[in-house]
Amino acid sequence: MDSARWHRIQSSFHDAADLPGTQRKAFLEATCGNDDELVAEVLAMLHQDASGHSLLDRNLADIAHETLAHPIHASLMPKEFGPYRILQLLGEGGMGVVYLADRPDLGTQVAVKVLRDAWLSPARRERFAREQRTLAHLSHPSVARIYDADTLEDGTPWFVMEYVDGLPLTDYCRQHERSVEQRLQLFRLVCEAVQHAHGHAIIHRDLKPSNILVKSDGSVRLLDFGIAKQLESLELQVDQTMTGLRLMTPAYASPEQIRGDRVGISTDVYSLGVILYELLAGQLPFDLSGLTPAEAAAVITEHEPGKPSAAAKRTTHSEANAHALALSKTAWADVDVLCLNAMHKDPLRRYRTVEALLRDVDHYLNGEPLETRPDALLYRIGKFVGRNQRAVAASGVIFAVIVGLIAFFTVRLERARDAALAEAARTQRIEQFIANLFQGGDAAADGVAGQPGDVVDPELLHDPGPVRLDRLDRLLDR
Amino acid sequence: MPLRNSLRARAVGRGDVDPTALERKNLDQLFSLTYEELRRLASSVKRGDPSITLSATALVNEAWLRLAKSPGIAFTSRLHFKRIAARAMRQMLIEAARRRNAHKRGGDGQAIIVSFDDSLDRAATGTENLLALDTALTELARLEPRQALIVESRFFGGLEISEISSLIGVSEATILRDWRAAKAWLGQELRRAG
Repeated sequence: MDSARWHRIQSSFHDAADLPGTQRKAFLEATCGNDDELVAEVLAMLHQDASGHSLLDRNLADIAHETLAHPIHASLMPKEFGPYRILQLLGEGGMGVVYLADRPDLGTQVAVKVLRDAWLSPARRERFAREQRTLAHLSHPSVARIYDADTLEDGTPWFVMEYVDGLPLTDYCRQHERSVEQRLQLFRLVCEAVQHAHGHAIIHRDLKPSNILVKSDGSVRLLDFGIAKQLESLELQVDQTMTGLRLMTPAYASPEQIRGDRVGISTDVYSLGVILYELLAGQLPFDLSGLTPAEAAAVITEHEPGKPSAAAKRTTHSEANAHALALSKTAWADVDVLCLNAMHKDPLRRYRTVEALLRDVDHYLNGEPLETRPDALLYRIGKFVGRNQRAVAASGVIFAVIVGLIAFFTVRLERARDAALAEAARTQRIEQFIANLFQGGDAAADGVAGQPGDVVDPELLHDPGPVRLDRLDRLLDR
Repeated sequence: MPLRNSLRARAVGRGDVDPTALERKNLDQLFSLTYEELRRLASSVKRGDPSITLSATALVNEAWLRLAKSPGIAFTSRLHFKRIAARAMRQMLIEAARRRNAHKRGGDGQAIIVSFDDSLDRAATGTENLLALDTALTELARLEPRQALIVESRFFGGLEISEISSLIGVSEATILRDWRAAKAWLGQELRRAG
């Protein structure tokens, strides 16, 4: 088929489509001459047009699901990665799949992490390789170790790391009914591991309880540096940050991550704050369930979290309630300050380092005063004004208008009152004058009230005389 | 924005975006991103979670929100971005479908990641349909590049008719006509292939 033919088909299609169904065939046969192929093609298209059952009418999500769901039979999976034999699936993340495997010759169990769909993009392969490098840089008892790495024939990279048989931090504390102090001790271990990473210029960026496993011996392992990043490369790779953001869990994400701003040490401090909050209050600072991503983002960037002490009281967990009761009021006040300072919306007002956070955790455990202070009132007012600029400006204007109106009317009232008083005084003076006039004598003129019962001088009545009138004038002017 | 204009001209002229190095990098970023989104989507479909209804439109819009600030993308207009995202989505799904088909035919030496999920061959027809659609779309691009672009943008990128209209500077009525005829023809091609 060529373009001319295609345009011919289309124009017949549109012409026929405008007609009622019954007339189409006749119309096409009349207009297409002997071109039976054209008639057949257009009729088939018209049929498709009416059916609405083609792939193009389907939801892309369903198609994506079918295409990406890997419905490939288990027998086709490689059973071995180098010397490691796959035993079972441990989990699937955004990036890859983690299997439990063993190494028969050494009798050890390990976790094998495989990048899923490595062919997809260099960016994914790069991110996977970066996690490998990151783990290789870190050597800390609380960070899961990397043992080995290689690539399959088709280019799928995989690496082997320490298998951690443990529970996520929050689950562990709940199941083992850890006390506040025990929880804080575990939290200390996590902080030390994160601090170790920071010491190697690595930010984890995805700290959350499911990435922190507690083994039965009570030791912790920090996992999944999948979106961790080297500090020095931060400025060059804003785009990487954005990609990382998409992959991270919103509940523990800092406001700057949500906004896509630069991340740093303080980002991990924030996530640690959320984890501590959850550990002690028995619930997350924000309830994001059922919110769209945009709504959740708005909550994290704009809403102030409630105090952990208040949240703990609300928690229905009987176990968490027991802790709430176990802590004194002053202890809760310290916990509130600790969590809320770590979780401050403004990265600059959080604990500067994980070490600073650790120091305050220790102060708390030792019953010493914390180094950090809650926000001063002035700062809070400043933040309030900053946050509600419009509202504050509008209130300001309204307030000014009200004050202005009050002042205006006060002045006017005062003037009216003065005028009324002056008028009253004048009236009184005239009354007096008239009275005196009838009482006779010069008392009225002299401002001295005449004595009641004074005899009226008839002469005065008949002839008030120019002098008195003159005085009356003066009185009225006064 | 000469780059954007030249891309746009090329996109319209050949029904195809020929990425420069920068575009290629962006495309790669987009690939990762759309992949993760599609994964999320796929697993939500699997769980039958009705609260997550992510259409192609929502997907691409979200991708834009995430990437809008990154260098290299920031200069791109939202529409152009969506256009590229549609292309990325198409390429990714087609590539995935191709690989799945290869596995099904028993190609060896391939890495196969098992999700221990037994919903096996249910999706086979969808995958083959997708490959047939890709072939038919390529053919359509040869016949009428504009129509191929419309289908790709609308189906894979979820672009609105009005958006496509301002993207390629053609009236909405014309685009609707083009879409209708192209869809009928592609449907017919898919039927023939299947």
